[in-house]
Amino acid sequence: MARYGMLINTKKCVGCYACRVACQMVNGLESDEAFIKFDEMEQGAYPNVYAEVVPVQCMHCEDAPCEAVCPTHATYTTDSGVVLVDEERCIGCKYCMAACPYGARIQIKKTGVIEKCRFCWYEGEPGNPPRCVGTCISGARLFGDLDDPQSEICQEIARTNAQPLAGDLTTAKIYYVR
Amino acid sequence: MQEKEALMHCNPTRRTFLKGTAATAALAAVGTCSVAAWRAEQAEAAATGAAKIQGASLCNGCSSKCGLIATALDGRLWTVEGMKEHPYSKGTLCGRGHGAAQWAYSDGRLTQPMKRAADGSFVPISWDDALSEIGAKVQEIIAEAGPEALAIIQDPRPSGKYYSKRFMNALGSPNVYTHAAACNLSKESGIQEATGAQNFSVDFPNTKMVVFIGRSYGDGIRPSSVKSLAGAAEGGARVVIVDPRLNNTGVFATDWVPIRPGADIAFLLGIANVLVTRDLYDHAFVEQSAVGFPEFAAQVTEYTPEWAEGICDVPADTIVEIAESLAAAAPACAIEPSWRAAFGCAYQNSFETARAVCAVNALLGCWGQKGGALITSSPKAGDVDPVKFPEVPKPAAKRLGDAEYPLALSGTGTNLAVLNGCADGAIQGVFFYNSNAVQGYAQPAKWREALSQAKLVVTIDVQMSETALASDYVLPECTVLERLELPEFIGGKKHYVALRTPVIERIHPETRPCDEIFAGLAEACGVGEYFDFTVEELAEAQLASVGTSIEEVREAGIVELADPGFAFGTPTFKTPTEKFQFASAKVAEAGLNPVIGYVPRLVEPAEGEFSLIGGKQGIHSHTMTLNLEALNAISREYQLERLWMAASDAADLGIVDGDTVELSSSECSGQVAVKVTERLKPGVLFLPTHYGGTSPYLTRAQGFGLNMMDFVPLHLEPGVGSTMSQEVAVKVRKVEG
Amino acid sequence: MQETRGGAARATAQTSEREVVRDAARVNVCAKAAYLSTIGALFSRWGDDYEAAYEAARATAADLAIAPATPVGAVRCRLENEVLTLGAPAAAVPVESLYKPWADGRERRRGVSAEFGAARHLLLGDSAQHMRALYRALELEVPMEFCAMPDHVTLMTEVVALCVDAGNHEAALALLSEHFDWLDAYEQTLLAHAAALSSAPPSARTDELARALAHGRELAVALAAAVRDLSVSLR
Repeated sequence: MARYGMLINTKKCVGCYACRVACQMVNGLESDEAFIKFDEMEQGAYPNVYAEVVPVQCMHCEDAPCEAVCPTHATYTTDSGVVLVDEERCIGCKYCMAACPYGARIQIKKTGVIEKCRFCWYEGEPGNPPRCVGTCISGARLFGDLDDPQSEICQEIARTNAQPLAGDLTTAKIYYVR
Repeated sequence: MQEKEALMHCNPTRRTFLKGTAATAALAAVGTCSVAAWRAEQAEAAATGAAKIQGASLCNGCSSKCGLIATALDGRLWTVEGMKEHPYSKGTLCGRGHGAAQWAYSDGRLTQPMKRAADGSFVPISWDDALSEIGAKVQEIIAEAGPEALAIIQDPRPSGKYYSKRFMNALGSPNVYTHAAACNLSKESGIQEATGAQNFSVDFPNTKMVVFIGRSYGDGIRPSSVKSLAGAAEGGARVVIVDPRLNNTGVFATDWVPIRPGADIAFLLGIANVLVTRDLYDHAFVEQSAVGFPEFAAQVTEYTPEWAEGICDVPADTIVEIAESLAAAAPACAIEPSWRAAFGCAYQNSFETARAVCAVNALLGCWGQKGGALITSSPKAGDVDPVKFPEVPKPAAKRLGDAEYPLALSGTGTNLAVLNGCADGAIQGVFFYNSNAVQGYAQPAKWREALSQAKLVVTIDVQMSETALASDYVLPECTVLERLELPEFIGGKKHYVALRTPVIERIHPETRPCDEIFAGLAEACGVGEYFDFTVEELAEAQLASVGTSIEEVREAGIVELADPGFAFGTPTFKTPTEKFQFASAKVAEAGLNPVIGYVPRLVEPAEGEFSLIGGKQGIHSHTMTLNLEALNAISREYQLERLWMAASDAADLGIVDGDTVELSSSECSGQVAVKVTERLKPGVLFLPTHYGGTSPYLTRAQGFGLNMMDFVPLHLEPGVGSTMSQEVAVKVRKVEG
Repeated sequence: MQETRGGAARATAQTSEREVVRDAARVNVCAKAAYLSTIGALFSRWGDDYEAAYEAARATAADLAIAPATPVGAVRCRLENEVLTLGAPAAAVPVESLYKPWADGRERRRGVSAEFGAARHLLLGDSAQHMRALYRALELEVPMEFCAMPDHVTLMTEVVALCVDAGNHEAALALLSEHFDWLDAYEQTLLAHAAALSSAPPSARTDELARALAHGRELAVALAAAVRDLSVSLR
């Protein structure tokens, strides 16, 4: 069974927002609803500055706090490690929004359901690859099976010593190269 | 009996819109009235096979025209994705590509020809009336002032660039212009003067060091450029960004060299000085492949790094270090050619800056070398049947502006000659295609004033842009995915041809593709004989001339043409001297220094004033895309319209991030929020150039942010006629309360 | 049923009475449907013939007081050119697709969801596709000028009236409840334009346009009322 994860290399991200737009399209989000948000960060002082754009989305944590607090078990994790929301069960209580340390969850206006990145999970499997990965113009994103050492993502994580965004705050499955 | 009759004929006097005889039986029995039921049916049908059309086209989100594949299901545009084989998209589409897909069904589109009424409002008019009125006006102008009083300005697209030129030439006018004067005219004219080619590219796969002067691949996006640079950076190439702003390409950079705006030329000449005086330049190249070096070398001795530092504010040591590193990396290094940023059209010295870029590359001996500056070729259509597609006689008169600006590329001219021409009566009729000149090309107030003097202004566009608003007639084009265009030839190390093909049916019946519009205009103006063919016929003929067909290109998406046989090595310079030109007779004839040398910028900010520079953002394209909802939403959420101010300047002025300021110049003032940042050289303000729409028709763009060109006085660069888009000094103050 | 002749006559009279009431009800519903479609028609281009259109509305109105008054030519002209025309600055075109998401955002076909599934302000969305399917089933042809707007109120009210005329109240009700639930949003758009106009420098044009927008709201209100009225009568 695969264990899906993603790699985001902010040293290649130029902040073009293509991933946000493509994600909105494939997930039927309105223009002002987005699963991917961007933190623009500057380090240093002029003229010794490093600026990066850090795309943030659901980390598909293995110990997902959102799943733990959901009173109706609407939030669940597939066998392949993708954290999903059962629309029928969600009561819109927003407990999960408060529990997510990454602020990755949003309330969908049309349905009131609290949703987030689903690795483009449709018809029983994740996107091949998820749309954000497919549309990234600089190749800053990778997606694949974290349990397959031969996979591109595993090799890249090893090569770059990519780390989750916030250490071991949660067992996040998105690894960042920064 | 009477009651029954009354029943059958409830409403005899009601006007009906729907045609056809809906039989009472059908109406009585109609089943799919519930949306839910219909949806269920649809889902079933979709599973078994909705009618699917996949078509190849070229994105119109920006001038890269990346290849895309659009899919329509049951006639509805369903998805767009990047075309894998296209050299610019390489399978991906940037945000604009996805946003631009919304144009097809947008509520902001023009759906029929419009005519300006006396009070400035627009009323619908039929095509027949519009064309005949325009035709009459055109013929009136020709009778009174000759065809030279007519002009057309267009931002080149596959069909548009052919048809606009053909139309204007057929009328007898030579006045065909592109948008270049507000884009890359100075840069391409300068490169051409030095090398004979309009442009060159950096061999990223093999380069060891590249210096960007202002250009940001991460902001002015073409997906393939970003990938190339990412690859070079990963391969350990040294990437130097010379820019007052640490732009979004900064992630790939090893060095950020903050520089005073308009002083890039001093930086480059300082490098040249080091290369020459320390004997680090390529002797063989200079001796065998260049002219004018002795004069150049003599002149360059005064451009010491210290001298350069005084002008561009880059430390002399930095200039020396970069020059020496370039020399060490040579010939696998280059100064990148840029596009618009910094010296496409920005300053009085832009043309010369472009020549200086070329000079440094010449000294490095990197022309045509692996990892260096490559001049490649472009394919074009071969000959087509001269009977079916008759050659239009070349107009005798010289294009307006060419005499005054002889260094401007002959392929583009300077469109500001039209602005001046309207003001002084030389031009009386102007056509615009795919161009928002009024908003973006120069001081909008001057454009409006000039166009109001013209007898006839016609704009062809998909939306009511600021330029359309200043016109007498606005003719609506259909969107890209609804039309077939002429083949687009793509040059480089490999040659390709691609095509815009229709994927969905015409959405608004009263919109037309530009080929039909120009043919109609030609007919109405009495020159229809030159347009007696369809765009399909010409496309087929052009493709046949290069060994392919519409069918083949449609199938494959893009077709590779005969290998141009690119090889590394010193190129043939197609200059009058057939060599690289450190000195150019033509520049002397234009009254300028023939030898590549220093030219200052025109406007120097005084004490208390700031330089103002512009630039792009990855989700927008000029002033074209701000009204697209998905892209507009990003600008709003991330406040991308903000003016950037250096942290130290902000501290001095008591301004914090998010404050509203009033920006003012000699031309106008306006208010906008501020982004305080460390990524900017003090003394400089940065304003992204997509904002400040004024067309009330484009509701999401109107009044959102500021339009940079509103602040810039009208100036034309000597010799080339570019718009000098950054020759302005501004003041800024915090708005209280 | 009575056996005696007198009884038979009484039964017939009672049946006739019921028939008369039923017929009257049917005529009443027909008239309301006719009125609805004349109001719907006022949202289209009439040019110089606009007065006849308002008269037709008044002729079918059950209560003359609720039928919109005929505006002066200049105001009607502004309404047609600058409010009811797509892409105009004060455009408020009563096309359902513009007020709803273009498609069901999550609907996937051939394994792919729509590029702009949840986007708004786009034409030819699901509602338009549904209306097109309906017109096809009824062999009705959409006039050229509406080909991008099969879900324009003018056409939709006409189909409702046709269904009512043919006695298919179920279909008419379905249309009324599913295709006219956005009129509030439409009225809001008109209000927003009027508000934006109030900050523009005054001129003859802005004055006429303001009146045109106000009249547009009058029509929108009349339309919503006619929809409610007919819906109630059909149930």
